Amino acid sequence: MAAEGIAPHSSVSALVSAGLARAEAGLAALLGTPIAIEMDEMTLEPVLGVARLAGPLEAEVVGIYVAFVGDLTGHCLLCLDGDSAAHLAGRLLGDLNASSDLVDSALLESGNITVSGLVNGIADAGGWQIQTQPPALGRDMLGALVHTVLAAASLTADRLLRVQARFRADGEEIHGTLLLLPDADSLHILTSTRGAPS
Amino acid sequence: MSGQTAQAVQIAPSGAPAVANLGEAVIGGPGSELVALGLGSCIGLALWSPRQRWGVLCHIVLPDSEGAPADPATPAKYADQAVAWAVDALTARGARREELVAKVAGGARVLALPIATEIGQRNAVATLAALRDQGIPVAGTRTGGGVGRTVRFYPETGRFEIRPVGGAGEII
Repeated sequence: MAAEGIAPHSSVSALVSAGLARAEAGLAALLGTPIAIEMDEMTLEPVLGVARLAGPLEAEVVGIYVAFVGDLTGHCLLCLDGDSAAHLAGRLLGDLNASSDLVDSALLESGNITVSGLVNGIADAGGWQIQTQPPALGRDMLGALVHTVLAAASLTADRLLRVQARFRADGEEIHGTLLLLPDADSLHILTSTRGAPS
Repeated sequence: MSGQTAQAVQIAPSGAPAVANLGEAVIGGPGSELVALGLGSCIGLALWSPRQRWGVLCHIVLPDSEGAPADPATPAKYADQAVAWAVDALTARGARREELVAKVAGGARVLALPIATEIGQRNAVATLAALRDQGIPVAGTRTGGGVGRTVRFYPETGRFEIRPVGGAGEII
């Protein structure tokens, strides 16, 4: 099973763009500063083949995971490299020496706003009902987090949407990888939607 | 499983690391280094023939194939199929089943997933059960816990290095 590129003007691309715009607005409101989330690339990838594209698998990252259920069901994982996560938490807390619990709480909130914004933005644009579940945060190797989510996703899907996105806050780049893993039925719904949503 | 090894096998060149990605298996002999990077809930299974100094490293994703056909590209996706595949791959190279030894690492819980909550533990249990069913002794395990691990396996000596995130490595 090979990777497939997704055309920038396709319906699924418009849906994900609507989701990213929602994520952008939510994160900007939380941080109190303009945020830009730019989609570099979106591809359909085999679930078992995508981990190597996520980045250096031994890099220590912070991952924020959200599952969603409803008309569309699946998983979403946002991984931020260590410096970007510290930068984000520092912005939220205004304190670079905050306790680790406080930092994790801030990251969980900002990750949840981003990931839930993406998922809810897609749902609203497509006219679907989706409920996001409570987020989970992990600090570990990129590979450990991505492999674990892919393993769970592989129970119900063979392919996933990989969205390579760049975040900028006040001109500073935040390095993150976003994986959207709808189950097989939900992926079919997403990719067979006709017409670009408004 | 016999006869399925030839398509999928990735033979590691001497002196260069060969990486087993999700569901993949790599095989190597003296001078080779077999690697599985960033294991979370997944299992790194090393199967070794000390006499031949050849070995297989499997990157196992899920516990049970439940009868699903094996995919030649990912022969190690399921624990049951991975163990059978690894035994076949080594015996096809002349190893004797009774000389094979296994080492196992991974199966951690690095994220609180709302589904498949105990997938790491189930992977570890299924891998050890499949080894027991095949009559393969286990020389060492490091499974469970809450941190990811990278494993490196050197078939020349049987050395199995485990490095947890943020921690010191150990050898089993």
